[in-house]
Amino acid sequence: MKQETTGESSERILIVEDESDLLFVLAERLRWEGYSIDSASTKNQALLLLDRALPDLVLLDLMLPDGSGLEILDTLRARPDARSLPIVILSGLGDEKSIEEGLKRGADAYLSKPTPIVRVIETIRRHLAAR
Amino acid sequence: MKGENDRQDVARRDRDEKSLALSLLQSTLDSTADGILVVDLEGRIVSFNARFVEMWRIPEEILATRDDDRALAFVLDQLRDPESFMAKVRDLYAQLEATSFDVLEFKDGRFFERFSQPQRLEGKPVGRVWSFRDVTDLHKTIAELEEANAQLKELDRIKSDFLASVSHELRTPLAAIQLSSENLETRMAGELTEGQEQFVEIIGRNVARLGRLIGNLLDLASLETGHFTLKRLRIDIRDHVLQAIELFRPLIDSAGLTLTKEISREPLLADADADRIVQIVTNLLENSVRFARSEIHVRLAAEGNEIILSVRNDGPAIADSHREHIFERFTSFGGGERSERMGLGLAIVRTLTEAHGGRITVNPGGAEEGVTFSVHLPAASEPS
Repeated sequence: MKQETTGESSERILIVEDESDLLFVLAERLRWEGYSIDSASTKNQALLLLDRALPDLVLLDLMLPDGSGLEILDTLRARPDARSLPIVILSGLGDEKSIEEGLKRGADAYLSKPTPIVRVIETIRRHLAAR
Repeated sequence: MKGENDRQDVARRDRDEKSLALSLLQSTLDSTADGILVVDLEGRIVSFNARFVEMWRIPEEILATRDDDRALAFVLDQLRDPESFMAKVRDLYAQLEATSFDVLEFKDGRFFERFSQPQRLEGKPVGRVWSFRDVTDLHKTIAELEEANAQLKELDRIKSDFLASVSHELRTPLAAIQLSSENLETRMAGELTEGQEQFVEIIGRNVARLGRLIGNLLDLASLETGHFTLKRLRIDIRDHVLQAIELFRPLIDSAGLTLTKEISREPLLADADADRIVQIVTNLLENSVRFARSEIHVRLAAEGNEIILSVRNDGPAIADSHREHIFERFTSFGGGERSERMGLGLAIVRTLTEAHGGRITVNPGGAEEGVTFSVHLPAASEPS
């Protein structure tokens, strides 16, 4: 579990991703783009962090070692203060059924891996702007 | 006296004819493939044929006694479910006019079909005819087919699950490679030399290619399991063909090929899934890039009620013998310049085209003619 800040004014993104390499390259790039990054590599870590404080956006992997990212999604959507928190799924599950399920349960966007990083960034920007 | 003699003659002839008719009837019964048993209204055995005795393996001494209870006990002993056999028998004796059909299962694995019908004399029921047909072979064959079918279904499910899980497992490391190469491209980790830049480009291009291959594998898995729906909207096909060409442009340029296009000036409206149209074009272009010598030509036009997308490359023609197999998964052609595996692309193009109610053709062969794939899609018929 890491918590880092690059500046008071930058928007904060929580990345939930259990693959450490992928988490590193995502976090490095988003930091470079000017965001503050928190990260969690398990469902429980993510839920702990989210209990403490809500970020401006969650970038969510689905297949986590201790459960599904969809459970995090359900927990957040059940919280009155997180009902409109932007949540972007970034998952290796790219089939139509998973995408439909993710969107139905309240994700704002569903990107399947591998997605070009410019598309990830563009999606993050759009949903942060729409808050 | 003469009259008396005549009467006796008539009576004898009548008896002879009756006895001949009876023995003819018995021999007919004995020649049938079904076992037949006739009983009276009380269930007493009236008559049976040879096949009945053979099928039920009833010993002569039991039959000779005509003792119904002994015969029945002998029969019941052979059955897997004697209670339901008896229930049916009791049921039918209570309903004189009823007919029935069921299947009996034996302890030794045999199966008989059992038919029962009332026997009538001058319209009144006087007993009941039971007939039995040995269907053991049929049942064995059906059971074997059912088992083979279940095994095939299970294998098919394992294959689809395997495809889906392999595809998923490949995606995460691929995403890490892709993001790393994209991060290098942004110079966030420092400047790149010209040589480094070239390598990064190659990584990016091939990651994209692997991504498409994995996408195709996943699609194939979902196409085969039926988890596949088109999101059809009224779209202008031109927009999505152009989008696919632009996506593919870097790959065409880097392969040293030129791409020319001839696109209708009029809108080409169809009720189609935009992402799938892009996928069709991308897969056709990918195939063309592999085989073209110097040029790829894309043509998009309306003809009658169809929108026709043609992708032509100037590579070696496809032999007639290969034409039929070119849309099969992983078709492999030996010998000649096309001794290559065809992969999944064309199989997916065909499936997606057909899902849209269209069809795909490949031009007839001939040396040095090049290869043209034509996708025919139904044009939108009425205004949306």
